[in-house]
Amino acid sequence: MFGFLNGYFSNDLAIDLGTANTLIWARGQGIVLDEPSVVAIRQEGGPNGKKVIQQVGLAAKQMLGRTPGNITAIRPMKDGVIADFTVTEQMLKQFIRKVHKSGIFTPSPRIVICVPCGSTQVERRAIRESAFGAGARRVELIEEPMAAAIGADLPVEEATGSMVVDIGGGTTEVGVISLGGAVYSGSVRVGGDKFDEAIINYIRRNYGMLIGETTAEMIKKEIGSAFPGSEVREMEVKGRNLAEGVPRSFTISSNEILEALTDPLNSIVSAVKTALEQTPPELGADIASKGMVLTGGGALLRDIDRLLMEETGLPVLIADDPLTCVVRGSGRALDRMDKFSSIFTSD
Amino acid sequence: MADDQDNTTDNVPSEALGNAEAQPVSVGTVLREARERQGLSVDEVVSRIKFAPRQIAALEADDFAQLPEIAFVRGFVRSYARLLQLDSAPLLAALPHAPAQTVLAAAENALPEVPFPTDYSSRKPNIIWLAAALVVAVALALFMLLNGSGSNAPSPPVEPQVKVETLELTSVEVLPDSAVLPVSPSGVSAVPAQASVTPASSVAAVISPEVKASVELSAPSLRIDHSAVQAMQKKPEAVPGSAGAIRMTFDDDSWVEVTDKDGKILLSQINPRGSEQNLDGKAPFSLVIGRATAVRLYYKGKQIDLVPHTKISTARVTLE
Repeated sequence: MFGFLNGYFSNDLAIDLGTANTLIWARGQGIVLDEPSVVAIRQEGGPNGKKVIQQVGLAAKQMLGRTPGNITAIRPMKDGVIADFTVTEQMLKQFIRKVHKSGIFTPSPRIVICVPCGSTQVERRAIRESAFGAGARRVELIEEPMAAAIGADLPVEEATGSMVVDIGGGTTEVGVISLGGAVYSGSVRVGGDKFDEAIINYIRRNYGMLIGETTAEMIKKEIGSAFPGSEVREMEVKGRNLAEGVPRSFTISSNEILEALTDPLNSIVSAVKTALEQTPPELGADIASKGMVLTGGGALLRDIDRLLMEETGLPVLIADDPLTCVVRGSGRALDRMDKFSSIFTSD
Repeated sequence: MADDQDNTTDNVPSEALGNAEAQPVSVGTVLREARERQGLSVDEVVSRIKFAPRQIAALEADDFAQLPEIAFVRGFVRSYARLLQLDSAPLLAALPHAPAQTVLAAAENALPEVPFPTDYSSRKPNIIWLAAALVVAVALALFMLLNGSGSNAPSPPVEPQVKVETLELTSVEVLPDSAVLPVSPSGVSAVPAQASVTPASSVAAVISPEVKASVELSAPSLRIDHSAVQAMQKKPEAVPGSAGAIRMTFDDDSWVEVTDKDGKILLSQINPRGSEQNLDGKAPFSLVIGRATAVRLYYKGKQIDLVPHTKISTARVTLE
């Protein structure tokens, strides 16, 4: 009966539960949390030792690949969906506790969570359940391309086609949006993680060196590029030599990283091309004159817009602050949750 | 294009310097100057950032009306600036900002939601309407019934009517047996149709069935008229009790309003063709009759000539 009052006392939250990073947006406060989606779990000693959450977020990420035997650092999200249900729930609970002060009289928050548009019903249900488990009163799901488009200020409600390519950690989402609905949405499970993986494999194959995920990510951010540019940059990398078994350092150039990234980049390009093929001609014309918009961490890869421009022949733009587009869009949808219910997915 | 470049290389630098001091940075001018400094033509820019030449011209002229939404323009400026190796931050800052949350404003300006009729929803109101119509019909019937009997004796004249009908039926059944009338086979089927009576004779029928048979014989072409029968059931009782009895018969549809001494409206409705109205109340009555030519008015058994009271087609009569 007094449900409408709860809105004044609880913080409603929009969550971008991403493979790489989790972002939380609170009504009236903006983005209040931006941390890696990593949980470190410690196994207590003794025969009946219980598991304890050691760290969540940034602190846990620094532990990735550097943990002793009794601690495991886990990334509970994989390919944009939940890989480990209980850990995800715990992680979400910790994140929500950081931003939503709970008390006896504060009601639990309403939560909007993004899901990849290619996720299955089971995966969506898992995300919904874990949000309920983390203390949500009501959970709405929003598809990532829609959230990204709203966050990038695209005219989603108008009768004009807007194309958004959200390259996240686990998935790349391509959506063509018009009149508040997705005309086309596609998802490929290629994203930042696959880039890192490709770099690791390339270095092992060509240099006989093993590097960790964190190093691979650093290489990608420093010298990774998606299109051959005029300047070639180099970077010194340290890893374990497979043949000798000892750490060695070596130098790698941006052109080599470009070569390493060819496969995952081709998947993204073909996903974009498929989307353009499936788009009705009127909307295709809108996209051709206005361009498609890149969001997500993958948009920060050097010259990825150039690659898509050359491959499609269309203008490609990078959104303002691409990393937070999705959560800002979800937050804006949350603000108008009552009037704007059509954009949430029903299942 | 070459001609354009020649023009600008000569006079733009001084102009731009003046501009930069006089007014805030014009994004288009900065981009155009940088492009010309690097010796790039518009076509080369087009081949790199894939925007149409007219869009590049519009941006360089700061003509934002020709460009898509501001979100796209910001991306456009960013990629153009990177092509020209400019720092995009000051240019983006100089761009008009996207008004906060225009994106979802359209949703709020939309029409209030009109549900599209599905099978289920279209049937539901029908039932409601039907029910409403039924209630109104019942209410009207009750009103008529009470109004008709209200001024008379409290007992409703329904029973006598039923009696009349049953009596009529029996008399009809008896009719062929009695063989008063030589009946042809077609005549037999005709008899039930004729089995009704003039109002006056039906009253007689209640009293004596034998008389009725003779009446039927003498009046072979009478019609069934239940309202008439009903009215005549009342009439013998009503006439002695009340001084003012108005009777109207309608040869055609006509609107009639009757008010009595106290201003109470006794009747105000359109009366269908062929119907009859009988009213009682306190005299004097004032009558307004819509189509006077189609109405025959009887007051205390006498026909009133409406012609002197008629203007155009409406008659206004006061009955003392």
